[in-house]
Amino acid sequence: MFLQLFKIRAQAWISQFGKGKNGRISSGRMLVFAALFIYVGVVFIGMFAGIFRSLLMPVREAGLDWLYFSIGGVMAFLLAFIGSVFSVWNQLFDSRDNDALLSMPIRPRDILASRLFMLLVMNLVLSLAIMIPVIVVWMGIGRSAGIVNFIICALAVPFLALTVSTVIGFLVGLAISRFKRKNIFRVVLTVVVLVVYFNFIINGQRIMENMLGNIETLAQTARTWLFPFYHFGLAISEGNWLSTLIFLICTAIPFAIVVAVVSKAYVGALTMKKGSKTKKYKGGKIKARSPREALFTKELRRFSTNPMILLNAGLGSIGCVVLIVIMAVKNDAITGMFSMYPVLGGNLGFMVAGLLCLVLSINQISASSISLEGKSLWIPRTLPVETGVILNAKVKAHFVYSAVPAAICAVVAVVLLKIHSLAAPFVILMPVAFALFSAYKGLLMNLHFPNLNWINEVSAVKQGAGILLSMIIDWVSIGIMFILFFIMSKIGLPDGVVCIIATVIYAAAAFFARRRMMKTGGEKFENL
Amino acid sequence: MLEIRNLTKTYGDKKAVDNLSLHIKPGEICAFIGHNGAGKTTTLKSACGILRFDEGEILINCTSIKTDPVACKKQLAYIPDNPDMYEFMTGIKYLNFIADVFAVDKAERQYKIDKYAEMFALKDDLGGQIAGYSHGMKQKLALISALIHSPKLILMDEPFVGLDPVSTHMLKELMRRMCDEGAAIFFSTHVLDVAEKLCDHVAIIRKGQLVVEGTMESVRGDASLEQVFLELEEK
Repeated sequence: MFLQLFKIRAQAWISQFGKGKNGRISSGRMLVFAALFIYVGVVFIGMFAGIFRSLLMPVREAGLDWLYFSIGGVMAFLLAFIGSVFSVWNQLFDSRDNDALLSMPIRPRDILASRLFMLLVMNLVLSLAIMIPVIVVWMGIGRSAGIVNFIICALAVPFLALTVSTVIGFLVGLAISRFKRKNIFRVVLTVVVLVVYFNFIINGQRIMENMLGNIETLAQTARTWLFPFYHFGLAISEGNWLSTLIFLICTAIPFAIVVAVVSKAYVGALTMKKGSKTKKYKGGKIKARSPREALFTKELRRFSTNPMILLNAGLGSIGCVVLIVIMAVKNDAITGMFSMYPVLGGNLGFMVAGLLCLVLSINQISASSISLEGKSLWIPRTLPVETGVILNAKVKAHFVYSAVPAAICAVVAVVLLKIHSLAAPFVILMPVAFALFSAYKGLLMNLHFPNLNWINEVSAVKQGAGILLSMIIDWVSIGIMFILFFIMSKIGLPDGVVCIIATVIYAAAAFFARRRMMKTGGEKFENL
Repeated sequence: MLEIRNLTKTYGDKKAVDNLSLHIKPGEICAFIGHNGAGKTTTLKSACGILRFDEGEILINCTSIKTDPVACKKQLAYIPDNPDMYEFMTGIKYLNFIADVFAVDKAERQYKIDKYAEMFALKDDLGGQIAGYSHGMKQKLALISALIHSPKLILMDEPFVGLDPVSTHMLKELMRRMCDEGAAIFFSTHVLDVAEKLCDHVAIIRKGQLVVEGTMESVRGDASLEQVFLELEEK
């Protein structure tokens, strides 16, 4: 039964990428997306390999080989943890098929096990993005000892990450479900996590330098506070079987306890009445809007009332707010950081605009807006408005959610970072034009790859071919702009020129995407 | 009010609806009866503009749903068999949204929301999120949203499923009253007793083809609608 349940979940996940127009999974599409996944994986592995290469030598010179693996283990754990903590509540407890499964002769623990296993597979994929470069760099210096220990320990890391994310996800989910202002609570919680994360990223260089400068202290800290990862490091670097066993015990026992506890409360959690007590409706004034306004407000409301959607599809907007805070607090540090690199220091305008585009690329609001209609697609299809109006409302929501915070962020950057060149207006306009392009392109992608039969809302927002392609197009376009910027700076052109060119290109791309949407989008929507 | 001419709709190789023609006049209530998978929902969805069809024509008040869907949709309301609505909205916000899109006057919408919400005993719950509604409450909300813009044609797919006895009674009364005021109603149902007592017109579909259509009296004759239906199914 467990395998059948897992198969259903895996099939639902795969079908989001490989389902063709006839509803069947197409092997051609699957191959394309497999190639894309491999490409993204290789890029990430390459990036982490660079980090671990710079870490290995100082650690080896200090005779603390185990620390290299401990740091790798902690990073793999953190990546898997961050990757699963926000979705653990929805994946485990909030699926649409809860009632159907509970009504069948299936043991609840099988339902739980299949869902946990799906999360474990995801965690494994994420942790491998770290563990593969860790071992490749290690073997690159001719060391091969502890390879079996490595395989065993690397496979155990996802269990540890899932244990912690299940505990935190469960407690937060439980608290939120009983909290009156749950949306605010959830968003604030995420912003706090993001601030900590961005702070770590900004100070990453310094943290790494401090770590390498105080290797002994770091090693002592790891021995004392990161006991499982200390043995993780020992297990692999020395091929130590006792440490392997200790790490496995540290992983298996908490996992077993968490599974036992959650399993006991599982049926209760699945059938828990959602939502807080609602007040009796007493009437009151009703605000009338035009059909266009009503559709636009509906799209805005969809993203603002569901924190899971907001956090998964609109994280870029929150990122802009976080950036504003960081710029206000760490203004000097940022200017100082950029001045360390001459090519960047004199071109702060483009760097800010490019960074904002990168942050906005996380926003995939329009790319999931069709999928989110799901089974309520009959509503827009029976409304007496042109299809173009419905599609434009979705684009407008994406644009407003992205462009407004990005523009505010750009204005703050221009003022605080003293970007006084002629490029200043285009530092603001470039991300705005990008947001417009991203909105139209995202909607087109979603019309081509809709996912209307989702089990869980989050999967409509987080997964699917349309979202993946839309994000990749964003990244490729930003990459091209950065290449253009480096070429221009080599021939001595100011960054303002690149900002102007990028703004024009994104605006033109948005124009063509809009034309395409108006030309073919209506028909695609009506044929869904 | 609703004229379906030679409607054909195929899914892959399968003809879901085959050359179906039907005419429902203003003031008529027509029951659409057939076994599961006979093509009822496909016909209803084609009539309200959700599904595109391969052949034929559908006219709503003499306007083609193919060439002018917006004009047609302004005059009709559709209630699906399983009314999945925007769960992130409250009941009142959903009704207001529908009223906005159908450009219903502010005072009129307020009056109608109050009237129908009272009638279906949903008024107290309008402030709650649709996500927390039961199937019956969603059905009632879908009904109110369909009535809010005073449609001339109402298309309903199994409208009585999930409704409590009082609401079922209310809906039947309301359907009759609306038709007396000139609207037309075309609905699918498996509850033959209700169809027999409520409808002036009946259409029976089997494997995508219309097998019988006419006034209730002419179709039923001296037998009951159930007997007629079962006899047709056995043929």
